[in-house]
Amino acid sequence: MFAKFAAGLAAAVMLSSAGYAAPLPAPTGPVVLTVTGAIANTNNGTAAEFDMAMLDALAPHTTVTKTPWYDGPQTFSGPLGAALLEAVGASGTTLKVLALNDYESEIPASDFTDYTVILATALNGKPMSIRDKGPIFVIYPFDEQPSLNNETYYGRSAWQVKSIEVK
Amino acid sequence: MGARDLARVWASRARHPINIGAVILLAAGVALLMNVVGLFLVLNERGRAEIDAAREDMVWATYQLDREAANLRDLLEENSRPVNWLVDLGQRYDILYSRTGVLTAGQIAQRFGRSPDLERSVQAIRQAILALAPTFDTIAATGALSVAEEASLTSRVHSIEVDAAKLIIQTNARQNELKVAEREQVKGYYSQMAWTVGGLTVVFAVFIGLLALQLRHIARLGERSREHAAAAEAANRAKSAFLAAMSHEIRTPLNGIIGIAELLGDSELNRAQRSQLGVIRHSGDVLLDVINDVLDFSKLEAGAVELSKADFDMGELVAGVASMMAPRAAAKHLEFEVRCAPLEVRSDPARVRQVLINIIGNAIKFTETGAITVSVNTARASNGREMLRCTVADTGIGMSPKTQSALFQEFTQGDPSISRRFGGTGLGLAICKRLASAMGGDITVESRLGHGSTFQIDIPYEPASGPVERAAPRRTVSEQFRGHALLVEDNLVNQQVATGLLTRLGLTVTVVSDGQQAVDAAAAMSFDVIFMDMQMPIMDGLTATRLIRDAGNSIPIVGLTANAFSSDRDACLDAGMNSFVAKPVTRGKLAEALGAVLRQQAPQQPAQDAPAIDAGQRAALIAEFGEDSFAELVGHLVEDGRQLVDEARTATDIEVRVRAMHSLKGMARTLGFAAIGDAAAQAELAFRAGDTVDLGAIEASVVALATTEGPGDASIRPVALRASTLVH
Repeated sequence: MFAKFAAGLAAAVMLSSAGYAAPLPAPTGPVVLTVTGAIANTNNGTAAEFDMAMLDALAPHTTVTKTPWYDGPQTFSGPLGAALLEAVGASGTTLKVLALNDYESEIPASDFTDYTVILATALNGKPMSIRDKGPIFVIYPFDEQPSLNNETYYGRSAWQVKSIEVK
Repeated sequence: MGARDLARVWASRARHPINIGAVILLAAGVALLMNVVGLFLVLNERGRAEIDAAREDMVWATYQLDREAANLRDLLEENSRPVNWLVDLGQRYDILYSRTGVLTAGQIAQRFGRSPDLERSVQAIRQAILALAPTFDTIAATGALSVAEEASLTSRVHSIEVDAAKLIIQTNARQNELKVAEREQVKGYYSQMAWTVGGLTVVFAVFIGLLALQLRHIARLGERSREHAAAAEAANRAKSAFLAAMSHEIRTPLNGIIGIAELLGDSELNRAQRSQLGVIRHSGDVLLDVINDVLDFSKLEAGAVELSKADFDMGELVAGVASMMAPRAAAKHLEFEVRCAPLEVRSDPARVRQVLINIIGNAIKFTETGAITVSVNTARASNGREMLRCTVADTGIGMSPKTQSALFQEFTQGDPSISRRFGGTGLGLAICKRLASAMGGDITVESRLGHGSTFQIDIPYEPASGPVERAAPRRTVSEQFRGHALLVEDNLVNQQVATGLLTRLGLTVTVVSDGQQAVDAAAAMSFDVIFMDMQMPIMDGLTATRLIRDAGNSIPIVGLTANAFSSDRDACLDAGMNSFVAKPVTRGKLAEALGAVLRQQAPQQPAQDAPAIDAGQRAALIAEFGEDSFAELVGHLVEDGRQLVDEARTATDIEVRVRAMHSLKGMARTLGFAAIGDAAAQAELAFRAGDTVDLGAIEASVVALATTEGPGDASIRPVALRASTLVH
């Protein structure tokens, strides 16, 4: 409990420094995630673009949970959804998540603050390729919150995410 | 009740059809309820499993696969080839590739796994897709795709797309099958539930029916027991009526026997005749005791016991009882010791006396040698009530534990041989026990066979509410009345007895033999008093009394009744009588009744120097013991009285003087010598106040008794009469 709290505190400190001290830096590697819409911090016109290194720099979190798509519990890790919203200075209520195959899912922004939702970039410690539903997989803490085990949240768990529009 | 009896009772109950039905229904109800609970658990588990198994839609997953295959083919067949075409192509393949993971892992894979055909199709498509990986890996590495390779790739992707389309149809069919199966299962659960609930409803309905039957059964039982109770009550009433009739039938002749014996006792008789008369008188008294016992008991059993409360001196009462019982003890040469301090209390003196007489009488009866010791104290019972505790210890034959256990039961004597040896109705102790209980007290016994018995009588009491009223000197035996009495009595013997006694009391007597004659006589002549029998031919006493009263005549009427029930007394008073006399009539009873109704006509009290006598008390004692024994008692009084006077004179201790006069007072009053008793009481008060008293007059009165009332035969000397000397 204390460790989690400390991690959250560290994330908050980091977020505030990213949000106010310096606007979003420009990505140096290939862009894996583009955030648009009602956001304060951008690095390419109206968009905020992230490469893998930038995502890794956001408050990381590891969720071990069972899902309908894998056999048995798996270890997912990646930045907290809340940390991403903080980094871009998001002010909307709905997140329109778009996948590589043009799958679209709408997630209430409150999900990212109510639950420890992560934007998983690694499965069992390995980066996720597109063939492994990568590069980004929205993962809810299904085991931690059994009430999330229903079709609504399964539907919100988009994979192969390429962009998020804050509305 | 032993285990076998219990089993039998259970078996007999179980045989009752209603009970068998109830047991079966209970079993059925429990089974059905368990079924419902089971079903609930199954459905609940299913619901939980359903939540767990919330899953990606199988058809959706295969549709996605088909769509991605189509996307890849579209891109391959695209005519315009942008710069990133090969990169996009690779990404499309990667996405298609990722879809195979969804079909072969997780929940969807599990569902496919349950259908071998579907599983085979999925695996075939997966193999076909995976087989393309080297080609795309080469494209990614080299950044080139030859025309031949492109054609082959297009054809293979096309065939994957066709298979994926087929898989959609196959999956859809499979999903429908699953849905139908699930629906069937749920329908099964619901129909099972419906049957169970239906069954329960039937069970409850039958149960209610049985309950109604049972209630009717119980109601019928209640009715039957009410009938039984009514029958029992009727039987009890019949018994009471029988006892009342008995008492009348026995008391009427007994009245004659005792009355005539009393009249004879006043005539000139020689020694032998007097002795024979004593036997007649004694037998009559014994018979009267038996009847009284039976009546007492029947009254107690009917719950009709009447308790009254009065202030009295327990010491005086006990001394009275002691002097009454002393001759019996003396006759058997038994030591008789009584210890009781003066104690002014409020309780029912008549009942206390009755119980004491009975218990002491028993002690004397069952003791051949040794002593009877009576002591009276106060004690606090376990319930906190103040009790008079009378202990009566004897050195008699004692009782075995078995005998003790049956001791207080009615009609039981300790041992059948006892009744042959000692006689008696066997009701005495039962009556005492019930009387004591009715007063809120108890009687207990401790005894060992051959080592005597000790009875403990506990009677609740309250402190006296005021100074105890001493019986004022009333009429003397020599008291004479003047006047004209009308005797209404149908029985010739009773006529003779009553006429004799009334004449001796100084009255002129006119006799009629039924109520009608009495009414006529009362209208025709002027009488001073009417003695009216209850049960007579032509017109009974109550009716006659009412008619006389209705005529405006207020002449005193005294009822003569053989029935000892209080209802008779009430009937007398209700009819307008002034009082009543219970048969057998004695001179004392008649004198008392006359004294009450003819008070104004009564002559002045006799001179002070003559011993004033309580006629009622004296008569009662004579009735109890006979003339001879009474005379003996008087002898004791003379002897002990002189001794007590001496004691009071010579003692320096005030307490001793007070006690001596107290004892004398108790003895004298007990024997009916009211004037001596009163004088002693005055002396007692004076001594207590520290005054000196001249005891000459008392001594003279006591000594005078020796000549007027002394025993006929001075050779009969009692062994001991310590009642008085040991009072403290």
